[in-house]
Parts: sequence; structure tokens; C-alpha cells
Amino acid sequence: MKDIFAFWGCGNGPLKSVHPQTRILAGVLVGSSCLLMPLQSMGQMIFMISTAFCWILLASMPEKMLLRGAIASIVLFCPFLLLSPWMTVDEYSSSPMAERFALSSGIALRSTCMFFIAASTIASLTMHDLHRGLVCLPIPRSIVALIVQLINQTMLLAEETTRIVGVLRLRGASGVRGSSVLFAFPIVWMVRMLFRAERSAAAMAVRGYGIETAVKDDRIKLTFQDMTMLSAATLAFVISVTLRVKAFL
Amino acid sequence: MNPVLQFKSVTIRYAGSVVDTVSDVSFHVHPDERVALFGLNGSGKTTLLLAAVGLVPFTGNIFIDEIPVEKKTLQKARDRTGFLFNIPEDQILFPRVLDDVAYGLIRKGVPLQEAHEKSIATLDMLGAKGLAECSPFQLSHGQRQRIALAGALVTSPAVILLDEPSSALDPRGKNALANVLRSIPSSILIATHDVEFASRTCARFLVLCEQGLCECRDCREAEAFLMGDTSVKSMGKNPH
Repeated sequence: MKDIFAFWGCGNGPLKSVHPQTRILAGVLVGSSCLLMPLQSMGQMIFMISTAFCWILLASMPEKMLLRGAIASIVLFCPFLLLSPWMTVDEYSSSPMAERFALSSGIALRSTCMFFIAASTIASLTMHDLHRGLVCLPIPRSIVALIVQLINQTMLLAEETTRIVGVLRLRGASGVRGSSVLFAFPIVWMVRMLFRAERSAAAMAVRGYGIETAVKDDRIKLTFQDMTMLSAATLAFVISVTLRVKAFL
Repeated sequence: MNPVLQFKSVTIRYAGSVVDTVSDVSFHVHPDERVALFGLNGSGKTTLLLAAVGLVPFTGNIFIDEIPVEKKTLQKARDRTGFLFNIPEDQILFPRVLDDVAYGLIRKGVPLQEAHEKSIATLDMLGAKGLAECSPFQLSHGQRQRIALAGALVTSPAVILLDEPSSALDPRGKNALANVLRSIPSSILIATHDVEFASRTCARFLVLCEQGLCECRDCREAEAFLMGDTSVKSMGKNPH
């Protein structure tokens, strides 16, 4: 759980010097840019990788986190390459296997870039920054409340799960003799989560969470750095959209 | 003076249960009165507190600051109540301590700056000023309990309901909390097992037992009563 918590705001790059709402918005634009970029040429591929790379540099995650991110992306996205033989390509293609491989590696590459952009954005934001940033963006308050609670409750859930795993370890739930405990684990976990959800809902009701709140507007004036960051992210997004539209036509 | 918290013939039975968790309980708490509610495990202390804020269905009547706890007026009644749950992390809803404590004030329309100042003052009262900028996930159980308490106290509600408020506090924290609870101008009902803490905080002592709700002269009598000392004569069932 500590690792999950430590990931929030662990970055120490120039991104930290801009307002949280700029970080969120620019992150969304850069992520969308990578998502929309058609990967039909080497240039487009280089553009997508360099955009993601720039974003990673701006966030400056610690090396340990970068390494973990790299391992996670390999585990998550390399299996896409195994799907190469089943990729659909033009039946008159001169080298269908190479095209199939290019398709699956394109998916893996795009997913990896998106993963690192998301991780870098999270690394540039503490949980409080995220809350502050979302409040400043023109998003309905109910959505902000929902997002904040999703993150808050996920962290609590992770903490609870870590505690249960700790207890399992302490009580020697491993090997053949521990297998019965391991089978019971999902049930115990689910019941505890349900009770926790019930208690959190009760606390929200008592504290009036979600009812018309009078949270004061805390909009902050954007600085030159914010404007530069947003302009660069918008440019990347516009280039991707233009190339996508061209590819479509 | 009218009581700020009233229970009138309150009976609570959970769905699927064949016995009442709390049966025909009546008592009231006057303004500025501090009342300790003792009881063995499973006697219904927490249930009674939950019923007071409409989280558990009940028969009978409960009034908070003369507002009936019923569907139409429930939110009004809750707005006059500060509540501390026995698992504090459940009621911490924000990723920064200061935001969480200030939430009750912000909901009431207090300007952000003022809300933050008041929240920091409340945290300071509880010896937790240094935690204002922390994330609740970085804190220990006892520290979270202080944060949750600060969130309950910050709006200066008419009634404060505390479920085991001292369970996770260190001696210094207990001392600070007892001082705070003695000084604030609210009526307080504390469900607890901590006799020493209750004796320093409260002037009235109620015991929930098989016979119903009894009032004891002091916390030692309440403790003896809970230990099963039959020689103890309580002052009466369902005190008013």
C-alpha cells in the first residue's frame, strides 16, 4: 500500500512548477495525442514516442518508479505481440507476417506510451493536487466528488488488502496447509470491503457529502509556464488529430 | 432548558434478528451536558448513536435540538450533530487533512480562508496542527482518530456523538481530548469503555445492560455495574 501511495506526487520535474489543473489538462491532451496518432510511418511513431518521452522527462519520476513502470508495461503489453499471427492484414500483402507484427507492436507501443504518460501525470500530482486541480477545472462538482472518492476509497481498499495479506503471512497461510486460507481469502476480503463500503456510505451521509456543497471557487490565474505547457500539449494534440483525419481521408 | 438530545421509547431491532438490540430506551441530554454511555460488547451503544443520526431504523422518537430524526428532517438534524465513528478512517473523505476537517464548514458556506483557519485552530486544540497538510494515508490510527474528531468538532455542533473517541489515543492525546471536550459549548454523548477517560470528561453516567438503560451515580459505580456487581444499586432505569 505504501508503494501505491508513494507513487502519487513522486515526480520532481518541471511539471511540479505549474498549477495542478494545468498538469491534469496537459496530461489529458498529451495522452489523447498519443491515443489518436496514426502509426503508419516511422515519423509518426517517432513523434508519439518523443511526445511520451518529453512528458516523462517533465515529470521526472524517480528511477525506481520508472523501472517498476517499465516492468509493469512489459508484463501488461508484451503479450500483445503473441497475438501477431491472428492480426488481420491485407490479403495481398507481400510480407503479411511483418505487417501483422507491425500491427501488434504498434498496439503494444501505443499502450506503453499511454501507460507512461498516465504514470508520469500521477507522479506529478499528489492526491491533494489532483483534488485541487479538478476543482479548478470546469467539471461538474458531482464528477469531481466521484473521482476524489474513487481514489480515496481505492487507497483505503489497498490499505485494507495489505493488512489482510499481512495477517495471512503472519498466520502462516502458505504452502499446502495454507491453501484453505487462500481459498477463503476472497470471501473474507469481499465481506470486509462490503462492510467498509457500508460504513463509508454512512459517514458520507452523516457528513452531508454529495449534498449541495458550497465549496468556494478557487480558480487560480495561469502563469506563463502554465500557458507554455498547455500550448505545447495542445499543439501535440492538434498534430495528432490532423494526422488522424488525413489518414482517415 | 429544553434537552438538545432526546430518546423517547426507542427500540431497535436489526433486520433478521429475533431480539431487540435496544429495547424501549428513553433519556435526554441537556445543553452543555456531557454524558458517558457504558455497556458491555454488543449491548447496543454504537447502535444507539447510529440511530440518533438516522443510520439505523428505530421505533420511538429521537430529537436533536428539538428536530425529530425522521426522513423529512433528517439532514437538518444531522447538520446539528458532530459524529465520530469508531473506525475513523471510514469518515475521512479527502486526500488532505485540512480539506477534510474544513469540509463541514465549507458546506455551511464559510469562506475557504476562514474555514481553513478555524480548522487549523481545531487541529491545534487536539494537538494535531502539524498534520494539516498531510494525507490521511500517511497517518497512524490514533492520528486519524484526531483528524476525524476535528472534523466532528469544527462546526461547533449542538450535539456531539462520539463512539469510542479515546480508543486509539495515547495518554497525551486522551488528556488533550478530555480538556477539549470539557471546554466546548456542546452537549456530548460518549459511548465508551474507557472509565478513566469518561470520569475526566463526563458528569453523567449511563449504562446499557440487559435490564435496559440505567443511570449510575459515578463512573466507578457504572464500572462495578458492568462487572456484574449486584450490590450496586443504580439510580433507576430509563432516566429522564
